[in-house]
Amino acid sequence: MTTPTNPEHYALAMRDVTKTYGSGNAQVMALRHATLNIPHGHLVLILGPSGSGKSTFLTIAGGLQTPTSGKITIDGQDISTLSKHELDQLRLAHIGFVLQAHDLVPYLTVEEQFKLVDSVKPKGNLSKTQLNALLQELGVDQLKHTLPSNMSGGQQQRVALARALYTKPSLILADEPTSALDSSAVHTVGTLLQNIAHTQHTTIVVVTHDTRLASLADDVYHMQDGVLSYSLGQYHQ
Amino acid sequence: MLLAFKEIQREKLRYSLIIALIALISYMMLVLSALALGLANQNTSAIYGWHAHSIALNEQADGVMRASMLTQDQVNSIKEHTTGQTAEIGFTSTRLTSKSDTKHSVNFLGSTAQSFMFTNTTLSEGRMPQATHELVVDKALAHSAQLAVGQQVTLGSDNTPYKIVGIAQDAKLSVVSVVYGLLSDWHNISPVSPTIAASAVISTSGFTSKNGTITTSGQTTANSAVSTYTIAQFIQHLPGYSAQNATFILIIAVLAIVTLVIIAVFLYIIVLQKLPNIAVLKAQGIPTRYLIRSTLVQGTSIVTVGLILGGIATLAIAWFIPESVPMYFSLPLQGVTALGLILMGLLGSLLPALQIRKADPIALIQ
Repeated sequence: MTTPTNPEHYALAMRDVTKTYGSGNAQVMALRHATLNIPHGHLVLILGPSGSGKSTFLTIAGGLQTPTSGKITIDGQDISTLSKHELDQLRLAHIGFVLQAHDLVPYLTVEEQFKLVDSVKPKGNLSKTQLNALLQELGVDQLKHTLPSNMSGGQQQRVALARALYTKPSLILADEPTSALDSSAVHTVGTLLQNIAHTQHTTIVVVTHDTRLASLADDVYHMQDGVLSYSLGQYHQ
Repeated sequence: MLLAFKEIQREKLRYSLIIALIALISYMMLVLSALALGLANQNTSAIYGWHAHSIALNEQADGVMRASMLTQDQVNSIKEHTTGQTAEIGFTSTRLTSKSDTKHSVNFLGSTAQSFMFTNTTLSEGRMPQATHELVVDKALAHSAQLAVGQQVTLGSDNTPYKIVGIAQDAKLSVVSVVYGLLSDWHNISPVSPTIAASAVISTSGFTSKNGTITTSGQTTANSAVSTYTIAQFIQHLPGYSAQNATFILIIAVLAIVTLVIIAVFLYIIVLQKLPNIAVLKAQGIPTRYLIRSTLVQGTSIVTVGLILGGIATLAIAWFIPESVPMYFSLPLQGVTALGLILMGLLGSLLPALQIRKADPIALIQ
């Protein structure tokens, strides 16, 4: 099988992306000439220690900040040419974020978290039936009328995942989604992410230092000092 | 505005406290504006009842009717300087003694029986004075002194009986009830020289004057000059009127600013506490303008609910307040006060809205 080289074929593609902070002696290169192609429906891990540039990768991939140089495409669309408003729209419609904390609005019940999305993006989201099925699949269907403060960390994370999937994004960017979980829960969440990626054809990019998810990933990249390198083999032996 | 209202609903204690504070301020503002209007009305209701356009006074009186004395020559000159109807007024402050021997301070205003001032004055019963020793008294005075048409009273130290022939609907001048009588009676009860014809002349139109001054035909000294004022200018010269209004306006303005500061500080602190959530929402693509609008809605909602509660409290208090407290409710004025307060709430929400604009999702992720 020939691997496609056109960025339009990928959920997320980066070409020689560099991000530099500061200037002169204080200059820090957080991302060095990163190039990758992430196909649709893949679960991809970006592994690396703290300060390796993972978060910079995540924020650039999510259109939250612009790279110093290089090109990023999401579903074939070059995001470097988009305005702030267009980037907001892109994130709302095509990208789901799952962050370490504060994902859920504390004074909204689970059901209301989705209503909030409906109030800014009324079309193109999961139907009520699809949402119910998703919540059931995630094991949080009984929590519809529950506030985040009355849920466990794991439950909150699963609701956050459902929230990210609600807009039917083509790409989900997750920041350390398993950092607070034990091994058993990591496997559950990992399997869930893998299942979503494969069955719903949603690309999931997980930025983490937790290697426990690596065996479930379709692709694994290592990030060290801003340099991104492909390293699937060592985890799939 | 799901975000705005759900937060208020779920954080009841926090928002109830701030709403209670706004309700208290609204109540104070509404009561003060009603008091300001009530006092202003007690200063001016008689004047507005005349439906005059302008007034002429002795220049030396500096716009104060009680200090003004006009000779017949001056009165004649004044009348030559206007095309409108004119009415001479004799003004004196005196004491009214009722049949039960109770004494009340009054402002006696004398004019001629056919003057437009008498014609325009609204009566709740009776008629205007047509003959000497006939009086019309203010309704509030009639109520408090238990006076009625047909009763006799005396004025000042004179024991001559005056018959009440009418009750004026709303006639107060400088917070004192007005008693209307004929100009000839004014000469009897006022301690002015017989050469003085009146205190003032009012006209239904303006006066032709030079820089507000009429040089009268019989003018022999500078003291004989006459100053003319529009009724609005004349009201501003009423003793204590401007200072009283300015004081009320200042207090109401300070309260409005206090509201602005309270809303700004309260929402600013709330927004600071919510910044991580706001940053996540922005990362998720929720537009900043949606989040800002949510805060503006919260600010105006807090003020509106507080205002409604303050309004209810004001009405409740107004129901029980004694008649002697001069509160006067005017829907347009109270409406302007309420709108001003809502505007303050909106302005107060701008500072936290600015904070939302600055919330950075990158800082949260990194």
